[in-house]
Amino acid sequence: MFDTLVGIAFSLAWLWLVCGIAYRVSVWLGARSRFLIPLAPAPRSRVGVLGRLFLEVFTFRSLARANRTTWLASLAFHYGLLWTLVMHLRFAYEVLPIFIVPFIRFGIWATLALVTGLVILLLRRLLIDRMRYISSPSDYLHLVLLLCIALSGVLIKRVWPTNLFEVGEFFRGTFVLNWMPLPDHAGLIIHLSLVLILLFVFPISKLVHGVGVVFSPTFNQRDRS
Amino acid sequence: MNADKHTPDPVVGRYRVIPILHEGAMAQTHTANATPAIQEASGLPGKLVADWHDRAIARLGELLKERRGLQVFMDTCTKCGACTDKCHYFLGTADPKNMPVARQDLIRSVYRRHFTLAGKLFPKLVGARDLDKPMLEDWYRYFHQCSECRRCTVFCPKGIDTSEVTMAGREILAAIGLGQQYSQEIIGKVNSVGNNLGMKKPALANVLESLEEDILDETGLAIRLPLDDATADMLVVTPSADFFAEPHVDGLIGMAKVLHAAGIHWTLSSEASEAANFALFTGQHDQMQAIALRISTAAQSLGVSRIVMGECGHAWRVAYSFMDTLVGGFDYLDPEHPRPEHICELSHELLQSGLITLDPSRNADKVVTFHDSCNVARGAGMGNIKGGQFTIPRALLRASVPQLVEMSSDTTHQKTFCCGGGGGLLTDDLMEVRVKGALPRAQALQAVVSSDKVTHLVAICAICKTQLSQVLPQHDLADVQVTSLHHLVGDALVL
Amino acid sequence: MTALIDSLETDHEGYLMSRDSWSQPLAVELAAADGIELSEAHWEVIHFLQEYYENYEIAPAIRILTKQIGKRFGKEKGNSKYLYELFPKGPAKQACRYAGLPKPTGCV
Ligand code: SF4
Ligand code: SF4
Repeated sequence: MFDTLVGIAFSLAWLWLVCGIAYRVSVWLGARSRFLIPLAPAPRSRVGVLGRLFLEVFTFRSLARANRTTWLASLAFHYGLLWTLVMHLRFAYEVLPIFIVPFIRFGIWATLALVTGLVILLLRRLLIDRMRYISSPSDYLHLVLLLCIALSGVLIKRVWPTNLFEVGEFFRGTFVLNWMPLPDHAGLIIHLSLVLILLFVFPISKLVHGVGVVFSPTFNQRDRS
Repeated sequence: MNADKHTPDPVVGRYRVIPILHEGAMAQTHTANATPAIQEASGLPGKLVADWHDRAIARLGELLKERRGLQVFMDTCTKCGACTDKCHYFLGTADPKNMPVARQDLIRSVYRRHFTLAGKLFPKLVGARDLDKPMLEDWYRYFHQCSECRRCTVFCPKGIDTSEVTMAGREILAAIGLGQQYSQEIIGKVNSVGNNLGMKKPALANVLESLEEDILDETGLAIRLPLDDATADMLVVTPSADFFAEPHVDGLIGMAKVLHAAGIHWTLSSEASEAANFALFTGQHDQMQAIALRISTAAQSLGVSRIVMGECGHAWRVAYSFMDTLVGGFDYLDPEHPRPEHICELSHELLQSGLITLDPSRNADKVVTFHDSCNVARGAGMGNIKGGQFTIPRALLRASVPQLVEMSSDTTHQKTFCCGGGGGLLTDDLMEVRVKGALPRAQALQAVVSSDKVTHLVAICAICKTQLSQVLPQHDLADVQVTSLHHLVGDALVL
Repeated sequence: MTALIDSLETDHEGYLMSRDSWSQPLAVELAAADGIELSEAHWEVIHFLQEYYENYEIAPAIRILTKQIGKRFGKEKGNSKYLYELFPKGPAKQACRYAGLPKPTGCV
């Protein structure tokens, strides 16, 4: 019964995530974009704009200009997270696909990068007066939430293992509304509950910035003279 | 006025000293509200309306739909802090509300309260706030301590443009009765007279005649400053400060010399006797359109085939990036020159094609550094090449003076610091903000004055020129001459 | 000595709201409040400003002011150093205020 509830919650969470992001994007695209406000000097061609967006999204170029520590910590966190997400794709397959194997193999480094990045970002927010001034409780909580998810994940993986095959069954089920039982594992329940919170928060918080960057007119407009 | 009391001690030769927060440091600052007469002349309420709260929220809602940037910027800031030490007003005043993200948060917190689920349910948790009287006062105060220079945007990983937020804030304020006297009065004058100064045609003609006399005395040549010449091919639109203030006037004279030497048949217009468009600063798009329309109307009625903009920062941004949207279509212009051009672009072209000759030895007594104006550097391109706004003025300068010294690269090109007086802040009642905001520029200048004995600071913006000549003395830099680029070009010109 | 100033309507920067409220004694008081005693030389400038304003509805540009003062009252007076000695806070601002002219607006 409880497992089914968690399953339904995840099914709803996927829906919420997709619809939430789609709604946010529709709000952005629904707003009128009348003036050209690219940050000059701006690329003059569409390809140039793609290049600019690529550099911003994948190398955080502007952040690199601003502050090295934050830049490195952000890179560590975001790439650690990306790596970890790829690792989690394993649960989408019944048979482990070969491309995921190296990700799992070196997963420990990704986790380390992710956690170190988060800790540095959190310390910065706590220790620097300017950061404290601009932070709301939710800004700390986002970091703490991610940190707890990472640590509970490490726990399940390294210290207190669970039946990964059953977890896979469970997740594949949530996409097709076929709710399966979960392994009986308190650590897993904690991990999954935290993830549920994250999925819920994502589209209605600053976390949508990942999608939002490419909609920033200062980045995505070209110099059209 | 308390500007004198609060003048910061000059800090010599050290950049990027990040101050420790001093909350409320600039909370006493106030720039005068527009008088009822000025407000009403622009169709705005004369004083704060009774239902200001609801009207402000409603207007914010409209702006979110009209300005995509604003909507995206409200949602995507992660409070990463990258911008917190990048604003010259923060560096100069230490007031935390002058950190770009904190400035945005004045609106963002209200946005969250009224327009987001999280802010409606858990305001405390996500930093959502009501728009109450103290908040309204902060809006007025701190949106008038932002020069809309976009330096913070250069460092923001989400590309958030604080100037868009400031403009929205000021637009809402004016719409509920709290316009700023300085900017709104100027907008009114452009609408009624044709320029910021309120200089009518007879006065303008008198000035131009007097300048022609001066040039004749100096060069022995009858170099003209034509006004409303319907036979001209080129309309030059320059900030009206060029008709009035020092060191601007010398820039205008330099421009006249260049155009004369190249044999261009040009004219100024009494209808469009202003390049500046202060409605950009106040975020009032309808007014911005009306002001831009004066230029295209004048160009069409004079029958010119080229439009050239003089040395003005935000005018160039409006001409380059917005004119097309605002008053659409330049089909009346020469297809070879299908959009407004910058005077630097023109002079550079003349120099390259050999139509003018410059002799740097005529400026042998000068050691020069160049101040990139924020609206040119980050607002617009120049000359159809990426980064032309940096290379073209410098190429002109190198051809005009024997020695061009660069200030620290943290303070030039795309990362240039605003002069401290842009965006509608160039008024005496904001002198304290202006002096303090000039600190980073002054520090960078101080360094090259010590190391290279720089004598002249060159700018291509009327606001920069006025602001810097007024505040540099407060930073112990009274000996540095603030100069128009075309003053030096004119002096180097072989006539 | 400040009776006139106290009852004066000025804008937020101390410029007269209406030129009609200007009078010779008022100019004397305004200057005295800044610690300046108006001499013949000051009056030359003030009267020129007023005359120019009558004709053109705007204060003269500094450059025109110096040139015209030089033409009328002698070459030695036709420079901004001389004018700054008379009006240390800047002839454009200070002298215009005493003369009852509105301050020019814009990027100046
Ligand atoms: S740099 Fe951009 S995202 Fe970061 S705090 Fe500033 S405005 Fe927000
Ligand atoms: S736009 Fe310029 S003045 Fe405004 S917050 Fe950003 S850096 Fe400061």
